[in-house]
Amino acid sequence: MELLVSLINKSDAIDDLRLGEVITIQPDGWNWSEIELSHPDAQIICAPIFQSHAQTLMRPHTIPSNTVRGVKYPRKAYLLDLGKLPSSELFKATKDKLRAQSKVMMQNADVVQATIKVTP
Amino acid sequence: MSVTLTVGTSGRQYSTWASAIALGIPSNISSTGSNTPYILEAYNDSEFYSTSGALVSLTGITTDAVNTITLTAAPGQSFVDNASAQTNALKYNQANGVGLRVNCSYSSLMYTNVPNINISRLQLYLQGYGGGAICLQTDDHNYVSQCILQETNGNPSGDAVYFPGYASTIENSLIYSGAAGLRGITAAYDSLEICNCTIVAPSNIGNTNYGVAGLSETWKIYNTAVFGFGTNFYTGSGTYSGSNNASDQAIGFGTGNQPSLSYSSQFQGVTSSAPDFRLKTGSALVNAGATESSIITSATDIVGTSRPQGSAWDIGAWELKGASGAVLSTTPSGVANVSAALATSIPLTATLAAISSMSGALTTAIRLSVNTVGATLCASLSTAIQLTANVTTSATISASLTY
Repeated sequence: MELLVSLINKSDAIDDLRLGEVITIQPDGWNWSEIELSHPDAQIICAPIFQSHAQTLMRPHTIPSNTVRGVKYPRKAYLLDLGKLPSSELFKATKDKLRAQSKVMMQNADVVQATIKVTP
Repeated sequence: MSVTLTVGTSGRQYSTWASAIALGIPSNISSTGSNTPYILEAYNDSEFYSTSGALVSLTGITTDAVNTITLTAAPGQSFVDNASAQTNALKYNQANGVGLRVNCSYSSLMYTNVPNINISRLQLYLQGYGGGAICLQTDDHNYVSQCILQETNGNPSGDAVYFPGYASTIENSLIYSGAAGLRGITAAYDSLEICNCTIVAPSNIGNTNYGVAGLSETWKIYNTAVFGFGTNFYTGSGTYSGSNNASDQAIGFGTGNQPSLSYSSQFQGVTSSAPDFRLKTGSALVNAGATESSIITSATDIVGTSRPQGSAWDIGAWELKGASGAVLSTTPSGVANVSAALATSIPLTATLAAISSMSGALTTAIRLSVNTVGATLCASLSTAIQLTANVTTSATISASLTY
């Protein structure tokens, strides 16, 4: 599978895009756009993760229907600790410069061991 | 000036809704200018499909009344624009236009906790299983129009559409609750407006829940059809007002209603195997609605047909074309010898189609003559004539057909 991962905290809002958040997961060979392949604030990881782990990475922190009005929640229940990934230097935002590699290949175990539960 | 982001899998700016939102929309669009709405326009290059989680999560973004976010289909890409929109079955079908589908347990499809979101011209379909899963959940001042929102999630007592915010509106949309315990629309706070929606559960699934469920505060419901739910049009402690609603159940509030109707007599198809929620000719919903301009911004139906087509708006998301007069169809092309009698019937067809209301009697005589045709040619000749008349108490239509 191919994972588009955020390299930034988009803002200070607790429910905004977080560093290490998996934005979307697509099948192998996905036709990413030029923006997605080069955006300085994101990186694509290609790794043979299992469907169950993909669902874990996309799980919301709180099921929407259980949210309380006016209370903000983190978007996702799990993030990737980018510092624990191989070639971690490729997972630093490049501040408006196009990133060095459009995709980074790694193993399922690399993604699994970098997965951390969010504590708001 | 607005900012438009294109979404699709064939050379668009973003290949997914999630990446367009994450990488294309700033966290605070209120600060980007006095009027900079963001518009995400999707292309029907392929179905937007996920087995791992929600396709759209709009959170953490600051908007205001003029700096809004619109999620929609690009021109020509929606089921609304489809060349066969009048004859396509009214149900989720990505072949007809941009469609988003999630097949994943314990997942919603589209979730926003951001106010000032407009959602239009999209088809959403949530499959899977799990408590709390919702096809569409919105926030304050969200406006939903011309959408097909379908859920067959086996959710024990969930909601196809959930409005937990203030002052939201849904109009000219189909809400399809395809599981036994699934409510149609639930709202938790104030001032939800529903206008010209069709809220249905298939007749064969035994839905035991409610089409509309208000947990508190005020609802305004106009021209809305609720069918296939087990017990009542609505439930909850909210204060309901409105008019000209229709149901196969009792309605219990408002005026001009059409309660206790036959479900199968109103729509083209009402089962889960062949759903089609276009109105049937002769439906009690035709011309039974009220003109509404305070909620709806334009007098059109779910596929853009102008309202009214007859003497009044129809109830529900669909406005039936040609329901107020006679519609005559002939196919003369390829016929070698057409008599004067058939030729004169063609302008008569155009004249009838233009009539929006009629108080007097109308008598139409149609004569079709085929001359000088040999026996072999007669055997292969196909002629179709369809005469459809919606007869009301103020008009009578009679026709004679001579071969």
